Amino acid sequence: MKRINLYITCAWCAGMLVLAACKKVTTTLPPKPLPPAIDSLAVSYKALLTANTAGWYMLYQPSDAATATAIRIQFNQDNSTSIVAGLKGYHEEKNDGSYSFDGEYSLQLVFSDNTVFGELTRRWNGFNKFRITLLENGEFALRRADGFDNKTILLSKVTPAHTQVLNDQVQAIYGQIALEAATREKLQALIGAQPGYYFNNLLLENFGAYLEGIDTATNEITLKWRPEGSATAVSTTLHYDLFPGGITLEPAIHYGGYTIDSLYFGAFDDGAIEIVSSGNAGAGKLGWMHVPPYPYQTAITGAPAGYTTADFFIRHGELPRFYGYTLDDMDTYYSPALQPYIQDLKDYFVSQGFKADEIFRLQFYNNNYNGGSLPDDHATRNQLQLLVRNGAGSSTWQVFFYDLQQHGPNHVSMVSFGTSGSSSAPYKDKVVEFMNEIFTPEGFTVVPAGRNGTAATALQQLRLVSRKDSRIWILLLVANFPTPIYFD
Amino acid sequence: MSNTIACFVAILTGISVAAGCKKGTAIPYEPYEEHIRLENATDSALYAIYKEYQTKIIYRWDRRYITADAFASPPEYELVLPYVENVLRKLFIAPYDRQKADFMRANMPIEMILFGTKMNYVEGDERNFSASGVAYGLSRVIVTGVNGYDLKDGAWLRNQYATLHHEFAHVLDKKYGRPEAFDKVSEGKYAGGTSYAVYSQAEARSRGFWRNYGMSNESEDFASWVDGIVTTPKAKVLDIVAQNDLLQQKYKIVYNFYLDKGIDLHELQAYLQSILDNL
Repeated sequence: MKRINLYITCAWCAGMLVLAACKKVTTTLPPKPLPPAIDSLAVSYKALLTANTAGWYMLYQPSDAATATAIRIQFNQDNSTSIVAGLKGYHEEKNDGSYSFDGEYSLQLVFSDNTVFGELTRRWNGFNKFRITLLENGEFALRRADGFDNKTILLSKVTPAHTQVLNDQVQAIYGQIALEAATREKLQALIGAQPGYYFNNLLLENFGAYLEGIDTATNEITLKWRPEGSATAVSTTLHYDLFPGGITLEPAIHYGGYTIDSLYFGAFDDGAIEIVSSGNAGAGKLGWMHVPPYPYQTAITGAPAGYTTADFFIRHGELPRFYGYTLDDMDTYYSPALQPYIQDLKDYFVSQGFKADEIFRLQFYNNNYNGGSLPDDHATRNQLQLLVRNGAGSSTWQVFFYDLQQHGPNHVSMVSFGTSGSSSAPYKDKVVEFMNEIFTPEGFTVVPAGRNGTAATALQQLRLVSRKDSRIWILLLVANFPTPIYFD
Repeated sequence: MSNTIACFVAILTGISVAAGCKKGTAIPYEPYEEHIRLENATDSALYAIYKEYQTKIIYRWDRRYITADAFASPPEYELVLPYVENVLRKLFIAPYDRQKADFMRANMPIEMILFGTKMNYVEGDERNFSASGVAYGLSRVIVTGVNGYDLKDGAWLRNQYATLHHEFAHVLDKKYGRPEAFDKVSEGKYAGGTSYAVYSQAEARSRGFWRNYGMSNESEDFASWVDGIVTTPKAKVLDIVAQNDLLQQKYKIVYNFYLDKGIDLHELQAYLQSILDNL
C-alpha cells in the first residue's frame, strides 16, 4: 500500500513538472494609459486656469462676418470671471459672469450667457462652449463645442503683446463712442423734435418708409414700407448700431435691387436728419417732412384698377363730379395751423354782414359739369364754394374758380384763376388771397383718411395736406357717388 | 515488478519534462502606430469629424452602397469639403450640439456616405422612385445630392437638411426605439400595399401623418414628422397639429422623444432658419 502511494506521489509530481515545463512564454502588453475622467480633468484644468492670476487671453472670431475680438479672462476660484473684451459694451471689466465645465466624452469650457461670449453668440452666431485641451506648452486649445467649425482658438497666458492688442481694441471703442456721441445727439434731437409736420419718414431717392419709432434703449428702429410688388405695407423693427457717421441696420433692408445696410447722417435740421448715403438707395432724409414716403393705396372699390386719390379728387373728364366738403367743427376739419386763416375769413364775412359765425363751410366741386346747367368751361369747371349764411339767415354759396393739375398719384396743385361767380365778386380779393396762401404752387397731398363711420354707406374722407407746410391741412367728407369709391 | 513500474514512471517523466521544456519565442509587442497622412484640406476636415464624432465621411464611390436596380453618381471631389464644412457641420451637427453637449458624439452614425446625385430607382417595384437619403440601421446614412451644392439655392439647402434630419431620425429611432404609442396612433391607416402617393396631403393629415410619404410604414412616419417639424416654424406646426387629435398625439410623442434627449425640435428649427438667413 505504501509503495502504491509512493508511485502515485511520483506520478503527480511528474505531472506537475510537465505542466510547469509546458508553460509557454507569452507576450506581456505594457499597461494601457487610461484617459482621465472628465471630472478629474475639469478639476486639474480649473487649477491651472485659476492659478494664473494675470489672466488668460484669446482672440475669437465667431464668423467670417465678424471681426476677431480680443478677450482677457480671469478665472476665479468661485467660478466667477472677470472679463475685458474688445467689443463695445464689454470693453470695461465685467465681473458678473461665470464659467463651468460640461461634456460627456470631451471636456467643455462653458461661459455664462451674460458674458461677451453670450453677446457674440447672439449677434454673430458664435458659441459660449468650447472643447478644451491642454497643450504641451501650457496653452489651451479651444474649439467650438457645437462643431460649427473646426477652428482652434488658443487660450494663452496674457503677455504684453496680448495686452497691447486688447488695449488697441478698447481704445478704438472709446474713440468710437466719442464719435458716436454726435450720431446719438442727432437721433435724440429727432426723437425730441415736434415740428407738427404731417409725415415722419425715411425717404431716400430709391426707397421710402414711414418712421414709426426709434427705441434708443434697445437700439431698434421701426419702419413701415410696402415691399416691391405688394400692395400691403409691412411694419418691421430693425436693430441698429451706432457708428461715428450714422447707424448700421441689422438686418439690412432689401427693396428691389437696393440694399440699405447703413444710414450715413448729415446735419439735423428742421425736424429731420439728412441722409448722405444709404447703401445703394441714395440720399434723403430721416424724420419729419411734408410729403409721404410712397404713394397711397389705390381705390379698393368703385373705380378702375390703379385709381389714385389724385384721380378721385380731380375727376378729370369723369362724371359724376367730385364733391368734398367740411362741416363746422374747426378742430375736426382744419388743422391747428390752418384755423387762424379760417377764422380770419369767417371774421371777414361777418364784417360783410354774413352770419359766418353760424355756418361757414368749404365745399370743393371738381369737374363740376353735368352736361346741362353748368358751362363746359375749363375756367369754371373747378370751384371752391363757401357755404355761409347771409344776414337774413339763408344759406348762400359763394363761388370761386380754380384750375387743378395732377403731379403724381396723390399730388395735386391748385391755382386760383382769380375769378368768381357774379354774386361773389365783392369778396373775391379776400378769398383769392386766402386760396393763394393755402394752396401754394408746391401743391398738396390727397391723403385717404378713413371713413366717417362704420356703416356700409359711410363716407370716404380725404385730407388735403400742404406739401409746402404739412401743418396746413383740410379734412373733407366726400359725397357718395352712385357707386362709392373707397380707398380704405 | 515494482522496480519496473518505478523505472517506467521515471523515464516517462523525463521524456515529458524534456518535451515540455522546449520553450517557444514570445511574439514581440509592437504598438500600433497610426500613420495618418492628411494631404489636403478635405482629408483634414474628414479626419477632424472622425476624431471628434467617430464618424467616417465616405465620398469614395462604391457601387455596393446601393442596390442593383438603382443608379446614382459619386460626389464631385471639390464639393466634398464645402459640403462637410457648411452643410454637415453647420446644418446637421451644430443644431444638436448647441443644445446638448456631445449629443452628436454619442449618436452620429458610424458612416455617412456622400452621393453626388439622388438614388434613382428605375426598375422593379419602386419604378421611378428617387431617394434623397437612406439610413441603414443606426450605423450608416447615405446622403445624396452633394453635386447640387449651392448655398444660395434655398430649395436645395432646405432639402439637404430636411434629408439629413430625416435620416438621423431613423438612426435615433433604431438606437433608442420610438415609443410604442406612436405606432398605435395611426394603426390601420397606413398605405399598406398601396402606394402612399395615391393619398392626398389632406387625406394623409386626416389620418395623422405629417405627409403622405409617412404612410409607407411606421418608421418613415416617425422620420417624416421630424423633418416636418425642423423645416416648419413652430406656430405653423401648432396650427397644423391642431387640425385633429391624431396629429396632436403624434406631434407630442415625437417632440417629447427628442426633448427627453435634450433636444427641442422647435429650437432646432429656429436655429436652422437663422443659419439659412445668414449663409
